[in-house]
Amino acid sequence: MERENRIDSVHWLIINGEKRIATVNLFPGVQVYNEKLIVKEDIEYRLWDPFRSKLAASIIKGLKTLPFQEGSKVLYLGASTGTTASHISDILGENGVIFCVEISPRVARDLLDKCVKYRKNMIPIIEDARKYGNYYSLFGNIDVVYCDIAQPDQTDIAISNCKHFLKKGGDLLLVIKSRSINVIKKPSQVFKEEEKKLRRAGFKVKQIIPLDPFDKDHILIHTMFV
Amino acid sequence: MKGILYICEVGSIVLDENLEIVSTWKYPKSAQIDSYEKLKRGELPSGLMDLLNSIKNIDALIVVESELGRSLSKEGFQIEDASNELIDELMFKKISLMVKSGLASSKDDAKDKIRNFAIALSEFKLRKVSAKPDLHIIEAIQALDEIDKTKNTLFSRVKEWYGLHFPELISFFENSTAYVKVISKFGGRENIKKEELVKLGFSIEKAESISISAEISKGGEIRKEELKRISDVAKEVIRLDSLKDKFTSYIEKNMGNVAPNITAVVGANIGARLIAKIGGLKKLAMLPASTIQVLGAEKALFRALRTNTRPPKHGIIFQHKAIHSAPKWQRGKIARSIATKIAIAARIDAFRGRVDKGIEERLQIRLDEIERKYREPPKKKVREIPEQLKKKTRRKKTRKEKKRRGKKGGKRE
Repeated sequence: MERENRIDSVHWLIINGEKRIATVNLFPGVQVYNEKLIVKEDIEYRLWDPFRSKLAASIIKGLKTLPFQEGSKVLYLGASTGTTASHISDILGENGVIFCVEISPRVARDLLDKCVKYRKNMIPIIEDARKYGNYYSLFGNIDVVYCDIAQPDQTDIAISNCKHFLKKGGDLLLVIKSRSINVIKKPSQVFKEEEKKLRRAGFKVKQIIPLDPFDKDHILIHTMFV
Repeated sequence: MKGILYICEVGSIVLDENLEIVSTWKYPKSAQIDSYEKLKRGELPSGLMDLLNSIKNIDALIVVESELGRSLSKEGFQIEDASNELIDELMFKKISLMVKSGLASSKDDAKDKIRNFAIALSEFKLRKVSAKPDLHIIEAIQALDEIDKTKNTLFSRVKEWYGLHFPELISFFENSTAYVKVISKFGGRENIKKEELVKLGFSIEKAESISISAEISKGGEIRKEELKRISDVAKEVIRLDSLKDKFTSYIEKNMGNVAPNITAVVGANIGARLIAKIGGLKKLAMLPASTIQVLGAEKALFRALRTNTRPPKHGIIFQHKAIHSAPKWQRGKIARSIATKIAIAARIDAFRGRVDKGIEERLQIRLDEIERKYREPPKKKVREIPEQLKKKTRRKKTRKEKKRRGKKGGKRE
């Protein structure tokens, strides 16, 4: 087993000669999205698929630091069925908390059945991320906001959530999907404009990672809220 | 002194201005969601009144939930809205407030309680959403399309297979079900009798020509075993056909209940398709008419936006008879007026739920007006091509040039 020290909580395994990333399964024996479970030295790992999870893609593409670690509080906007959220939950461990905001009832059903049921650090919030005043079960200061929602005003939604809940010096990981912001404009143009919005709102951009070939016309922006 | 009424997951707390606990009301364990929902709606359960009556020295209450504040002020309480800073502070201190007030025994217990409540609330919300009748219509119309597709696939298999034996038969039928019914009844072509065909409702001339062509068919001989297999598939086609009818009438009946006004304007089928496309009646009601007009023509619409050419006139609503049977130059106008009426109808269906009898008539008046006014096709205008597009247009390649590039005719643009 080889381990790159770039990010401690993410493990690099070599499977059939291929380098793959994985997290330690918080609830051994349970899969979330039919990912492979691998036991090595009595520790069960869940392989993290970069084609399914944009955070995994960004780690493979060179994300320098992961802003959350064991015990952090994360607000996850657009948790969907919990593919990425479950890996974050692995990393946060028993003492961390991840608030999963999702609006669509259909995918929230899978989120509840496959993730929340087993993972004690997950708290579901079925609500529109635009109406952050209605999040009921949120508590405490949030260390990191992760936002992956396909809406034209996604950057504004992320910013307003951060202003409300994110602690000073906390991080925002924002996935920008240029196709859902504006189909007509060039992706590079869209990215520039969204980045500008973030800077104007008081975010310091730490790193920008294009996610191709895993997701076309996507980038992940890692920013700090000052 | 001012007090703060704080509604949390497992109970309500009254705090003073320094966020010290004054009094607490713990909800009954089985009724946490219920209590929360009631308070959110602004109802005043007796437990809350007991809590508020038990406290003294408080002249004004700061309330976070605005509905609740309104009902309390009607009861004679002096109410103030909570500031954003206060709401944030309460949220940050939620865990410790729960422990201090005795609603939770420890920090971990408070976290557990919040999580359990969040799960219960989510499940409650899902249950409420999943009971919506329009979701069943969406599933049903999709099932209908799938049944139709399966039926057509199996039908063409029967046609091909039976065609080995009696290829001429298909030319006598326009309707797929009548064809498969004949096959499943008679089997081999030598069994097809004129009298029996007449009994099935064919005209004498047609029955005769079928039986003649059976005698002189170009098809090969076939064994009983294969005929049995073909007839099995044919029976399946018949069964799917009757299933299709069942679904059609189910959709018609239920659209009449769920969206009577949309059904009156465009019929059950198109109405159900529109609802399915956007994912719910309420969502359809929120759309502007211009979006409803091109729903289902997204590909054409975005192409038009990208290339600055003309946008599509109609999407799903093209299936409406008034549009596809009208002359081309009227279709845009008709599509627009139908879309506006759908938008109105959807809003009535989603929010008022009553039948508006006039809506269909008003649409008809406008359709008649369009027909009258625009009987003649408009004179063709020469459209100027925008500069940027002009440059892009390329000369069509000659056959020779294409050949040089290989089979598929050059590389893709």
